[in-house]
Amino acid sequence: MSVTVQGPVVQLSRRREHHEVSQVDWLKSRTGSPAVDRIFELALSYIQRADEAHRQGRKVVYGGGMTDAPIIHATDTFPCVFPELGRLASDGSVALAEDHFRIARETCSMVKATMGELLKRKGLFKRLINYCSLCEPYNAAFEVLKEEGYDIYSVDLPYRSEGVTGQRFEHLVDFAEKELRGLATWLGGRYDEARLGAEIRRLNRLHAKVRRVLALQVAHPDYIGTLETLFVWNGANHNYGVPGEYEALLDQLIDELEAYARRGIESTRVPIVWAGGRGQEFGLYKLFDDLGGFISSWTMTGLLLRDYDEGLSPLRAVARNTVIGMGGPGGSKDQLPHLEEAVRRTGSKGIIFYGYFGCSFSSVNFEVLKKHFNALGIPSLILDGSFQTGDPSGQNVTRLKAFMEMVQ
Amino acid sequence: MTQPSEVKPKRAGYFCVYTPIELLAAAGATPVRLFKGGDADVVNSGEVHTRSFFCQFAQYSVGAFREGDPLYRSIDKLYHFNTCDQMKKGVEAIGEFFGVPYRMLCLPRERSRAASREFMQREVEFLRRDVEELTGQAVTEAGLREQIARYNRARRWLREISELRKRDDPPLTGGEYLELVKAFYYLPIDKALAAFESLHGQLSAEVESGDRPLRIMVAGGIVADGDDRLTRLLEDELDTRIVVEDHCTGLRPFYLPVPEDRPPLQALAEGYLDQAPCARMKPLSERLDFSEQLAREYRVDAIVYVSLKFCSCYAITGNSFVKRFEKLGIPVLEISSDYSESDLGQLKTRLGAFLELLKKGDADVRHRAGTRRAAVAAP
Ligand code: SF4
Ligand code: SF4
Repeated sequence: MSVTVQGPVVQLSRRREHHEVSQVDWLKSRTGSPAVDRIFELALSYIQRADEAHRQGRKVVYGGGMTDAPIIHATDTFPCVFPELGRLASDGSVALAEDHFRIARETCSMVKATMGELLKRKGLFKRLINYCSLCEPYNAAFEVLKEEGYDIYSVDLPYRSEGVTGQRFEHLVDFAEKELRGLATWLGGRYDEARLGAEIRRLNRLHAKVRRVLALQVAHPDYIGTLETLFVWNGANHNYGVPGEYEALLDQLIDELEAYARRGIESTRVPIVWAGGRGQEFGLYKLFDDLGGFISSWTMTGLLLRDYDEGLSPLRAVARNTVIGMGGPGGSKDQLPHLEEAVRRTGSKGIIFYGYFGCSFSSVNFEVLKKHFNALGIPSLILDGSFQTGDPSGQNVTRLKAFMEMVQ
Repeated sequence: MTQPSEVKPKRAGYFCVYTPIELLAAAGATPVRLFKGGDADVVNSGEVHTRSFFCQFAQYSVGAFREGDPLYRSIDKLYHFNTCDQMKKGVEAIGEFFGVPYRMLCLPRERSRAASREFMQREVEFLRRDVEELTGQAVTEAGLREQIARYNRARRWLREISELRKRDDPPLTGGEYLELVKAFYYLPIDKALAAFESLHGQLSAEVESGDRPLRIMVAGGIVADGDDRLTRLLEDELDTRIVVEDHCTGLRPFYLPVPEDRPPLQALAEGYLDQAPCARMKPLSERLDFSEQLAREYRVDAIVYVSLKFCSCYAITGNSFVKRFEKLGIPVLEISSDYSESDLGQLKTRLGAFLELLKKGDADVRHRAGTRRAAVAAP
């Protein structure tokens, strides 16, 4: 027998309106899923634990949330991803960056928030990994940050433009491999191939579990909400600094989701594909749930949960995924196959393109992709976000509401 | 049958000075630098495909294709070495929305690493294959050497002409120098060479007047062909003299030649990586060292540092630039600019106030108005 519930389960324990919730409050609240509650705790304590690791003499570096994760783990380094700093920052961090570095107002607010936080934290650990070709504002910002005593290693990633395949693709991977070897040396003094191989196998196993969580969530979107899901896959590479515990929580969450699935509760939620970055406009994700939608696929997971090829040498495998997943982030049409497949697979009703105001590359990508989906008759909406840990901007709320009404 | 001489040479367009034009020319293509700007209407047209928060130069470039600018529309293929996000996305938009074929190549930033240099050489080899395909003409080693030597001669002339500006009363204005830069990019190179040579002769013969106008260096992001407001204000209205430019449409790209003592593809890879750096290169300190060297060499009294709105490379690193010159005691006015009419009034007020302070010797002033700021340090 199947039961249809009117309201989503996640809202039962979360009656507050989106505009009443701050990000930290949200992470402190109970979700109804013990595994997710613990992941929230890990997210909340993540930066403090990085500081603690540093105090205890462990290597800690800002980086490691992307395809570079195996290298970071293999060098016994605690990965402290800097977007998390931004996420937990405040408007004050943005103002501090504007004032201290005299960064122009129109600069992407995410970059400013990170800069402000890093400035406040300059008495703590100082090593940071930058990926050239990933984001122009960060590139420039990190050069400036060196003047504050930060020790920054720039991995000079090649840009993989549209249609790059075959010999030319391998040539980009050759270069990325050399750059990543440089990173491994910078991090650990020497490059340990066996350790890296083991980390790749571990992360492949872990990614499969995250993919399983995502698949279960798409099939039964009422058990955990959009933000909960985001925080689960967000840790797929850095594992919030606790690989063993994070993996155990994934197992626990899979059990919870499978148990929920057995209850046969049908959902009325509307699936939407999310294209673009994980914005910090926290309330927007909550609004999604409140409007009866859910995110059925995230572009970032397509890039970050890609298996490393265990048939290659470990460094080559990392380099390959890095060129595919981080090389740019790739030509404008790069995400097309992933997005098309996601819409098809999940029966999604539309696509949201989310980028930060001031982002140096996403705007053209979105225009190109929107043109394509318009031609296919798939509704899409471009949202210009900003760094906001609390309420989403009024304009985005209105636009998202109108869009959800249209697709429902 | 069409005789080879009747075939119109292919036109290879490019935006940034990191494109080895010698190679395009050696394959029989005509290199055309696309660096117009300054018109807000064309920017607005480009905005349709880029959205509003995009570098104005990149927006203009997209807009010029959209508006059917004959120079832009005459291009057979675009070649772009990935300098900055905005320009690379601009190129992709041009390809997508106007069907212009393009080839995107990579440009390392950590230019001193061995891996970067090797990688750059392979990118240059890819470029060679691509442009050979475009023109149907093979690049020979001798032909490439000849082009390198030819373009180096032009660079040398432009550097030597610029050096005449080291005099107290330079025989040419900054505005005139920018016209010569346009000649380098727009004229057939042999014509430009002949013009530079004769002009150098004439200018060297000019007798110094004994005057010493206020000497200004303009630094920062691109000063596009058509974006002459700053130059006009500084030289025509405010009576100063631009004696040197630390930007990619002034002296900077002509400062260092491509080496002629090594295999030509390697020479191009190394020569282009080692050229006086744009702010997108790493480390930033090398770029600041170069700016400092220019300012000293040309004995500048003050610097106007301009970044276009939404240009991360120059806007974010602007403060480091100002700090470097504060230490040296050279006043800097930092300006964030766009191509709008409303910008002109503000520009004029700020320049006027800055020069007023300079003339009074009033120093140690640092003030901000929004994203715009002036920094004047005591000499
Ligand atoms: S939104 Fe764009 S510009 Fe901003 S941090 Fe992300 S990639 Fe960089
Ligand atoms: S470096 Fe700056 S001015 Fe030049 S194209 Fe890029 S964003 Fe525009």
